[in-house]
Amino acid sequence: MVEISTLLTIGFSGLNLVLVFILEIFLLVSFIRKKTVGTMMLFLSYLFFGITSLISVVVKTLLILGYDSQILEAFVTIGPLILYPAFAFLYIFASRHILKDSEIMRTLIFGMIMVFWGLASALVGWDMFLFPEGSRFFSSRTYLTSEIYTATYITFILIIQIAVSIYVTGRVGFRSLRLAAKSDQPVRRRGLQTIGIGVLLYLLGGMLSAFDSSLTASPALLIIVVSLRGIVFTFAYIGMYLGWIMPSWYRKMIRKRSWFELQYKELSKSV
Amino acid sequence: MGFLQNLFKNRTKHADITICGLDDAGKTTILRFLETGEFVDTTPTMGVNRETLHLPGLQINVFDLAGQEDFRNMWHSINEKSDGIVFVVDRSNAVRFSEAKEVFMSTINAQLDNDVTVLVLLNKSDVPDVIDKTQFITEFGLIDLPFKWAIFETSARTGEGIFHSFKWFVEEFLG
Repeated sequence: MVEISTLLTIGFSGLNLVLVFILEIFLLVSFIRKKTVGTMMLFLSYLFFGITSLISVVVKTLLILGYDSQILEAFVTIGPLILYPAFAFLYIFASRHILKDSEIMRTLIFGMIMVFWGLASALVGWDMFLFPEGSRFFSSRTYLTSEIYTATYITFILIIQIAVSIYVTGRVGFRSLRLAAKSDQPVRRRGLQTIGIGVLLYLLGGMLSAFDSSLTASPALLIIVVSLRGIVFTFAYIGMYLGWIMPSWYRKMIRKRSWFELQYKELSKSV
Repeated sequence: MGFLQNLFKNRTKHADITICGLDDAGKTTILRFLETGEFVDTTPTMGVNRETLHLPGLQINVFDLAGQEDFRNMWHSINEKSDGIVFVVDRSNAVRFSEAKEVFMSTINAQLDNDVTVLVLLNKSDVPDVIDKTQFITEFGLIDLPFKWAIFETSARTGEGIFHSFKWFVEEFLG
């Protein structure tokens, strides 16, 4: 019997996957049109976020359907590693357009994310290939059984990953909100606000993801947290889509039409 | 393939236009009038003001350039990429006509491509004792201009001619 919380997890993960996919298509179109480094960085970042979501949804669904193999579990372990480049590219994009970090700072932070990524990958690889039978990763399906795991590698990798995600998304989110408060242009202000809220909601969703594994004792609470997480991620992706892409209908909604535009529109109607 | 081509094809035309002219000719006031539909008292522009007009089938980026002598050497970098130029003249200031003509000629001769559309605005028409339009056309040598051009009498204080002049511009771009 599949638990409600598991079904909710898969349902929301599927919805979020669709949203990431839509966001990714628009970012690709934006990159093809503008051909700038910024749009490419943002596209690559969400490409990796999308791959992580895809792996997560496929693996969870296959496990529920009864497929249980080491390869599936290996994917579950490898999935989070893909988030490192996602955060790295997001940081590069934001450092150029939002954070305004110096070249040295940019290189240093990007380098550290890459080092953490390499370290985490090495640990996962070491664990997978040297201890295939008794691997700590393979024996702890935390996302389904919510076991409180003690494996030091996983704990270490998770802590680093959480630190990187909090650092990147937190800075991008709060900085966007601060820039929005300073801006006197309505479109720019609302765009930055939407990015800030979207990114911070993503961070909140990530924190709820880490939190739900310790809630096995209370299924009702687990259902609430899983639903809340799904809703938070949904709004985060919608916010990031509106903020990063700024579709023309959204711009028009924010921006009041100028006198000339109104006059011209009236004239076009009457002709 | 057709679907993909449609997806990546941008149906809205884009045009960049610059508003040039001597300092105190009323360039920024005209831009503000386009934005608000009323007279707005402005301060001298330091650099560039930018406004985007979203019209059916056309998006126009308007760059309002500072008219002071010190800023004029920056004009060419924007004018060279421009699809159209609006040259604003203070028709009430006869003392600076020769300076305005000199700046106008150097701008259109050195900074513009041949296919650029030129709009000349005789601004401050609400002020009494201003230069006559026909006389101005002759004195400025507009007849011999190798560009598609038009001249309108405007006032950014009363709004006279502002809409019609920019409407002409828009229609030129839309073909």
